[in-house]
Amino acid sequence: LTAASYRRQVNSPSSRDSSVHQDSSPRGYLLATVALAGCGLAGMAAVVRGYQIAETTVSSTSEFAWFWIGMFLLELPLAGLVLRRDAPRTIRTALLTFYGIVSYAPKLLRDPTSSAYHDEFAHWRETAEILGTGKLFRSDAIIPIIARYPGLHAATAALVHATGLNIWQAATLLLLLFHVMLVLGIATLAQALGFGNRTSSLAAILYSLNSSFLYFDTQYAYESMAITLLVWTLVAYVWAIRSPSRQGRATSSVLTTVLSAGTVITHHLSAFTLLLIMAFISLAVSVPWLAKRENWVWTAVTAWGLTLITAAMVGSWFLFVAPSSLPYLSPYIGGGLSELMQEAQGSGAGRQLFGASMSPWWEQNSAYLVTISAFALAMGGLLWIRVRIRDGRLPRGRRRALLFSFTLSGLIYFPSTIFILSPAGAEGARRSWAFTWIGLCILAAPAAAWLLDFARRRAHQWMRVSMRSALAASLAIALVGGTAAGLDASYRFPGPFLYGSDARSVTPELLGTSAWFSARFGSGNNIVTDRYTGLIFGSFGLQNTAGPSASFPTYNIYLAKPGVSIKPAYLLSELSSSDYTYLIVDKRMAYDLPQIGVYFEPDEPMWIDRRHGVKPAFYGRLDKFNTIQWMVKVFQSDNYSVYRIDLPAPKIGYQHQPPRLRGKLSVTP
Amino acid sequence: MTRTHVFVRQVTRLWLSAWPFWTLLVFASLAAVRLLPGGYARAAVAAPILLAVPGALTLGAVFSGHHRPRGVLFAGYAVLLSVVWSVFASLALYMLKVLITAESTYWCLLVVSALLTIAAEARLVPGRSQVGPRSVPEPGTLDPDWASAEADDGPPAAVRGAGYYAIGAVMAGLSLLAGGVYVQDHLPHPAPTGYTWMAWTGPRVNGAIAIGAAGAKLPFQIVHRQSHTTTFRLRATWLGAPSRLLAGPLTVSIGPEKTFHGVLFVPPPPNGCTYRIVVTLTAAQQVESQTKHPLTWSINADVHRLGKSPNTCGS
Repeated sequence: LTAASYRRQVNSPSSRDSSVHQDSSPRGYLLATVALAGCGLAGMAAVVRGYQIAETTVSSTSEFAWFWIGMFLLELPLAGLVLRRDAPRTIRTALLTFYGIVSYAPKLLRDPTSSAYHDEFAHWRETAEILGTGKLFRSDAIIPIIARYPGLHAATAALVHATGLNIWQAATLLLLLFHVMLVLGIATLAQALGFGNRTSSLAAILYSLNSSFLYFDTQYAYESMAITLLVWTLVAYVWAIRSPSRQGRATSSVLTTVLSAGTVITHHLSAFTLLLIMAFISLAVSVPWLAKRENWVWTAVTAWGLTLITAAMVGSWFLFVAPSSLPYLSPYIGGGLSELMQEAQGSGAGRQLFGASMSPWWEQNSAYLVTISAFALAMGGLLWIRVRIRDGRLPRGRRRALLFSFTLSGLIYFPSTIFILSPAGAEGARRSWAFTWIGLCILAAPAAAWLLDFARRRAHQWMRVSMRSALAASLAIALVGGTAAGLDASYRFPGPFLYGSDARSVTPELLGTSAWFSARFGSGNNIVTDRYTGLIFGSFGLQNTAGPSASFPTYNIYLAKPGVSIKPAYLLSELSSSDYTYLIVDKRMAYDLPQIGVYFEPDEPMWIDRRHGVKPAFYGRLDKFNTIQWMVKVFQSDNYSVYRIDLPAPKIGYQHQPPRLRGKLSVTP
Repeated sequence: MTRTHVFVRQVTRLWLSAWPFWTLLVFASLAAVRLLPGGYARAAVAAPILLAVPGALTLGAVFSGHHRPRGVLFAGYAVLLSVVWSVFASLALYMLKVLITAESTYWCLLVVSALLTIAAEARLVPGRSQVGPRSVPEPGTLDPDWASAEADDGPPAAVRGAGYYAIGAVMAGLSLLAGGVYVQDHLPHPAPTGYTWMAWTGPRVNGAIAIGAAGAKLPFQIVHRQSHTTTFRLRATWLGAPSRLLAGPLTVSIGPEKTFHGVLFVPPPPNGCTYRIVVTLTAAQQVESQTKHPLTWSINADVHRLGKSPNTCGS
């Protein structure tokens, strides 16, 4: 773009509108700023109020209502301003930045000072290991695979070293940066694909409606960093493909390679998805009907070259550093497929959507509407592409090929929603949406922009107002539904203790027990415990918790009936040879059913009955530890007991005929 | 033109003429910044340097002036590349078998930044004559494939103020977040649920505790993390069928947030057998919600007579 043509574009009638000047007056900006500030303050206050109510109740409608009123006040006015046609692009970028920052509020306010989610404890531990030992790849008891992807932990440790902040403070700073960069990255990607500033900003706002945006990808976990790297890698990749000059291709290729290496080191699924999207793009730019144009061979060579480099990095990392990645990921897809097949044949037990959810009905219903709205907008996007091809505004070339490949990656969202019906596939499906929505928002953005313009062009004011209100309502519903489709309310809201919940199991008693244990026995002890107790012992306590599985069924220790030997026979010798020295028991296992359905890990046998109204499988089986010959109880609090495991068991145990001797007890404050 | 304007122009010219070098100096100053006490003050200085400089230098090293990203693109890539460099630095240190510490990370990143500075300075040399106002087109806008790109941008009249708007947005957003956290922190919260615990103290023992001829004292601790005083009954028993009283019972009242230290004197067992002793604490007026039994805490230990073989058990 030359300076002259730039000026022509600026001064062209199409980019000037008399209403623009009226709306963009200093008075208009001042009013908008004051209104925005008011909405921001009120919105933040409402979100805080929602969380305050949530702290005192397990689940109530008012906490959801206050929260969503707050979010609407925080986000909808911002979205409205961003999407105004007359908003200058610099102000739009600033508003998007603001949007990214305030949309971090729900996760930040959820627990500003400490980890709250299951994965966060594991990542906290991994970072603490780097800071404590000075080494990478330290084994992680809570989620073993994360030890092989040290990107987030190394970055946090570097920030802790430089600033003197604690892990959580440094993590919060990084997460906020990644979150804001994700919003701006989506807008930048859409712009790199040839959309205007407004449509690109709309793509970013549509992306923010995906189920992972508010909570999952703002938690302290590797995906939160990797997805931002992925998006900006794609921006550089698109630049490399677009660049007409060899130098431009080379420089953007260097950027692509460095950032894709960062993604590979940080997160398996993001690396795999990046490779998949790059492969889609490479294929698309190799198809003559899509891409054949001048220099298209160079385009294809650049695309394939970068894809192969990324493939080599992903393959090498999977092969040499993280060989457990594929076995870790495959059950989400394979298991889900097989369960869906069984269900289709009528032999499987499907998953009830929102079965154990604490969300109100309107949140759940909104979640269904999101998929329907997304489908409608995606169809609109496809129609937009078709019209553009027909009228010659999307001719063969790189842009057409790129749009097709992003469209394809976005459309994967719809078949993936079927996996939500399968217990094994649901988690994988949910996790894929943060990635498929990149393509989906790029596909849907022009259709949504057309809708906005359609509303703007209505002659009657009441019609314009009605249509804009309807679009704002749709956005609000999509915001609610998208979030509800992601994490359960026990994750999203603070609240009182909830047995068997990953995000509400931490109590002062558990923290105190872990602190006592570490002070008494040090860190690095091999311990056996349940999932929720293990979160704290395995993270803040720096202990090594056993990972129960079919081949190492530590849950059988708890399940064994009193007086009956623990099966399988090799379990105790394995505990002994592996130097497991402590067993920790939460006595609520005997009385309560876990909120998320598992006591230990998803691998535990299904015969641990989880039906409501049925006594838990551990009922009446935990007191046996007080009399087992090879266990000594060294600690007890209201709910937790710590037993020392003295294996191998002594040949002669303690006598059951006690002496008639008297000792003496004394206590002093 | 005022003196201030002249000064600003000279500083700007000086900065642009060798910005990678000055940026490297800023990064090197992290060594001095580390002298500040760790926390928010040091973070306010160190975090922007760590999270911007290596990435900015990478952009300077990779892109020539005309093609270098600007504005949000520059800031975005600078931050992400800086983060990636900190990860690469840790990996390099690990592979070199150097412990990852504050010092080693700093030196590694400084070396990387120095190399990037050399490359960036080399890129600056041919372009020095063009130092001045930026008139760089956005990447790819010369591409004919993008002739059909959508042009729904708003009026670009505010381009000059881009940085100020972005900074304003960041400041406003951070203030709002900080305000939310502050208000939430200062609102009344439900009191945390209290609890009580009991544990052995004293030296760590594996297996049964050897009791000498004079007996042995086993220390333990009772910690009451409750907001109210509770009355307990404390007793020790020999575990068996039936169990027999070893010591106590004692009635103990423990106030809120109090710790009591207890000692159990165990007489020497009569033979070489191992016996299990149990110390039990029972709340006088509290019952468990599930079992409706009195709320009870206990710890146990195995003891045996020092110097007597287990083979003499039963004799």
